[in-house]
Order: sequence, then C-alpha cells, then structure tokens
Amino acid sequence: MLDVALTTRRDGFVLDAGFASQHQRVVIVGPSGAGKTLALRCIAGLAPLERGRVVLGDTVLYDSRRRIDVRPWRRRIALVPSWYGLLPHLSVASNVAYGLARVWRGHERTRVETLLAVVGLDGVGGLRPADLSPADRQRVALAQALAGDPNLLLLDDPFAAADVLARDQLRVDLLTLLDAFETPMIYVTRDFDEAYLLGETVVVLAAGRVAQLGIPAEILARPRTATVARLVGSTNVVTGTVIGRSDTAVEVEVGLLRVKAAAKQYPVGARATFAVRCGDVRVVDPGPGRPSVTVSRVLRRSGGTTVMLAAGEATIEAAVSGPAPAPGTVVGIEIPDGAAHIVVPDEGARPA
Amino acid sequence: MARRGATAMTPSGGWPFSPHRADGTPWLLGILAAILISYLVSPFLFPVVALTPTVAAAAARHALAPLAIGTSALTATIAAAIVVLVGTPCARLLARREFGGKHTLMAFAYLTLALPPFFVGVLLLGILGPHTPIWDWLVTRGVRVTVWWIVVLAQACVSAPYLVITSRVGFEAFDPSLEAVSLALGKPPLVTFFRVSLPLARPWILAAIPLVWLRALSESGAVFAAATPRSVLVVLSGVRSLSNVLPTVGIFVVVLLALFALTQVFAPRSVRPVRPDA
Repeated sequence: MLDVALTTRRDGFVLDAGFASQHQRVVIVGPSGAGKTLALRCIAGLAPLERGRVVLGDTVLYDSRRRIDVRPWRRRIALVPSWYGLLPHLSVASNVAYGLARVWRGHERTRVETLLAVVGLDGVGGLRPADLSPADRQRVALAQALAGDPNLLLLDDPFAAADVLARDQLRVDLLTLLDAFETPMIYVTRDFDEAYLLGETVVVLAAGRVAQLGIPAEILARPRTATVARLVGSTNVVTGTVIGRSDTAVEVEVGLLRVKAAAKQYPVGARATFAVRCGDVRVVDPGPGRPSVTVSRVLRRSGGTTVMLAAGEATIEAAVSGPAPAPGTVVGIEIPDGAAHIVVPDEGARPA
Repeated sequence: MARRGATAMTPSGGWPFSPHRADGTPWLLGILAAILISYLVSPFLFPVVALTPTVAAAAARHALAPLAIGTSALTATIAAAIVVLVGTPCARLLARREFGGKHTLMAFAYLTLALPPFFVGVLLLGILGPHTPIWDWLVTRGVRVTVWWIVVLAQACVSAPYLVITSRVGFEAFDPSLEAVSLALGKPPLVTFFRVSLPLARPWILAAIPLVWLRALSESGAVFAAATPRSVLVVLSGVRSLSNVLPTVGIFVVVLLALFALTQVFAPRSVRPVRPDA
C-alpha cells in the first residue's frame, strides 16, 4: 500500500532510497545524518526530488517518469516534527482546529474537543502550547495531524523532545490512536528499540541508502550490514580473515579467535566482518581448545554487567552472569556456532 | 590558611577599585554609552530649549505650519503603508528562499541606506519626474502625476530598507518546520503565509513600522531633490531664513517627539521574539 523510491541531492548529501510495504506502520530507523528527515520531507512533497515515485494505496503522489507531482497541501499527508510542531501564537484548541478537514465545517468545536479527549488532554484547549509539557505538546500535535483525516501520518522522531519518563506511555498511546483511526504512518527514529516496538516494517537507513528492510525481528536476528548490527545492538562487529569454509558458514580468524559465522560466498583468504551479540559470547575458565583472553575493562550496565576482552588485535565484549572477573584476569572465551554471522562492512565512513 | 585567603579574594564587588559595577557592568562601557546617549539627545534638546513661548507662537502662526505638519504625516503614512505592503513579502523571500542574486538584493537594501538621500531624490526625479517616459506614459493615459506622489515615493524609497532588514530577521527567527506542517495540513502557501509566517514575524514587522514611518517623515534630502513642495515640514524647516530656522526646527522636533510618543502608545508592549518552545 506504500511504495516509494526517492532520489535527491542536497548540499552534497545523496539520498537514494526506496522501499515498499503492505503494513500500516513503517518505521525508518538510522543514525543521525542518514537522511531520515529528508526522506520524510520528500514523501510529503516538501523537499524536491530528482526522480523517483511516491505511491500511497492507489494514489500516485509523485512519479518523475509520468511527470506527476502533487503539491504538498493536496497530498493529505500530515507531518509531526520532533520540535516546534505547534503554532505558538494560537491556543491549543485553535492549533487542532487549524488542522481540521473541511468536512468538519460547522462542527469545529465538538470535533476539536473530541480529538483532544482522544489524545488524553481534555480541558486544555484554552492554553497556549508553551503552557504544556513537551510530551503534551506532542499529543496536541498528533491531534492536529489527525484532525485533517490524513491518508498518511509522518512522524519525525516525535517523542525526542519529550521527557524520558513520558516517552514509553506516548508510544503505547500512539499505537492505540493508530488502531482507532486506522491511519497508516511512517515513523522516523534513531532508536532501534522504538522501531522494534512501533514498526511492522522497519527500514534501516544509513548514509542515504536503505541498509536493510524487513520485519523488526528479522533485522534484530540477522542485521545485514555492520551499521545495522551496531544499531540493533550487536555490540561486537569484528573484521578478520576467512581461513575455512563450509556450505553455510565460514571460519574467520581474528587475533587469537577463530569464529564460525553463518555466510555464503566468501573465499578463503578474504577479509570478512562478522557480528555477534555480547550476550552470545561466553566467558569460561581458561582451558585447552579455548583461546585465553585478558579482561581489559568491566562495564556495569543496567541490563547486566559486561566485560571487554582483549584477544590479540580484536576486542570482544561479553555479558557475564554473577561476579565479573577483575581487569587483568585471564579467562577463556567461547562463541557458539550460529551465534555470529557475516555482515556487509561499512563503506568508508563509520556511522555517526 | 590558603583556603581562607582564596575566599577573601573572591567576594562579589568587595574590591574597592573594581573596574566593574556591582551588577557586573564595566564602568568604561557605561561611560561610552553615556557619551552616545548625550550625543543622541542634544539635537532634540537644543532647539526645544531655544523655543521660548513667544518664538514658538510666532513660528506656529506661520500660515504653512499646520498644513506642513498634516502633509508630512499624511505622505509618511502613505509611504509607510506602501513599504509594509511590498516590503514584507520581500523580507519573507529574502529570509526563506535560496535563489541566485539573493545576496546582491540584500546588499541593495543596505546600499539604499548608504546612498545620500539627495541622490535618491534626483534618481526618482530622473525616472518619474516631469517629461520622463513614465511620466508621459501616465499623462497620456489621463493619470495626473502630482508632486505628492514623488514625495511619497521618495519617502518610501529611503525608509524601505528599515522594514526589509528588520522583518527579515523576524521571518528567519521561527522554525521553518512550522510552515512545512501547515502545508502538510492542507493549507496552500498563501494561507500558510497569512496564518503562520506573518503572525510569527509580526513582532519584528510591528517594531519596524515606527522606524519606517519616522524615517519617511524626517526624510528631507530625497524630498528636497525630488519635489521641493514648500509645505512639506522638512522643507519648511530648511528654506526659511537662518534666523528663523531654530524655532522652526524646534517645532519640528516637538511634533516629532509627540508623534514618536504616539507610536510608543500604539506599539506592541513587547517585541520579544515569539519562542515556540518558551
């Protein structure tokens, strides 16, 4: 129901991204500077495209080959930016009324009250946006966007400005709202956890290109590139040399480690990058057949303590249960077969 | 001991020969500001002090004086209205659009400020004055170009940069995503301009209007050169014999101060920028 191909250039940055989805909720996730906001603006018609297409359901909004370019104010695509979405010179109620579709003419007041109630903000219509908390302002912005009965809702990291404590509730409320209004959305975020929660389809954007497209669980389990692996939280992204191969896996040597990683089509002797989540790396007693590594640092994280292990030229992070070995301790390391898999290395620049 | 010494060295304002006032303003800056303020105020004080009641009454009785005040106020008001009408879209254009020649256009706004107003008058006369092609074209179509229109245009020309420069800042000050949101909500560009951009830039535009109006009112060089109608106040101040100049200038200053006070009454209480996140 959503099919976009976007090619444009802006101040030396090239956006060349395309994706299609049958789902109602699409999340674009990527590091800063990946072109996420620009992609949203192109879909809304607010930034010019060099070529491509934007098709929503049966409606072609942009098609460079057929010379179709529907003006932004005729697209019925509402946009909620991360900051400043509301008009500061209007009251909350007037802000929502500003977004109202024409069909509500004559019933503005009731409709605005209903919309504010739906987003959980009864009785604040007379206030100015500046009187509200950032979280409540974004609720009003959602009501304003939904007021126009849009065919698509674009949300550009809408909860980034909200208080951390309010953010999770906002996300849950957004899901409820979208179910009630049956409005498809494209949501932009830098946080993969948020993408996982909100997205039925997740598009990972990096350096202006689609690095991976799929359902969230699939991306989490098998990130395709090094950037995606870092984004989803596979903390270990390591490059080494292929020293052996089978039909479904290769053996990569890096420093003192030899890791079997799922992959096809890698010749022996080639450089290869693999990703492995720190929870999958086991810290064991040193012994024969296990590489001995040194604990270089202990990191106490809320999700559990991890240790950095120096293994020759490679450093691997591993989760530990129970008391963490002190820095300097020599321990053994085990990476089970199937835990690691080969990813496409970053092209040139590291992600921001 | 060392700690006690350190505490004694850092009291705020305790040092008797501090180059700073207690609130942190350096004395030197205060003195420099005072010099400028006295410089700004003296041209107003001097003629007003010279304006004894008898002299003032005599000057005011001059047959042209009431007409001069009215004419000046009227032409300045028309000029200011024209400037706001064409200058505001121009400021919006300069603030929000990227186009070739934008910086040249902006430079022209500043150049007009730098140009001797007399040249502006001569230039206008050369373009619009009697027996120029535009004048003739208008006359053949039955339009009577009076000298007043040239006065208004001269005033508009020299005061326009004040509006363009000030309100451009206003249009740059708010987040452009507000306009984007408005377009996405189905409001065409013109509706977005009037309901989003204009209200958000309004404090700056309102702040510029008194400047524009006063600049138009006090414009003499361009008016002199272009029109020289005897009844325009500034011309009146200039053409009378030297012995009479001081009281006439005095009246002008009094009128100016009164009008300025009036603009302050109608000006917005605060021209603070509207912070969307305030």
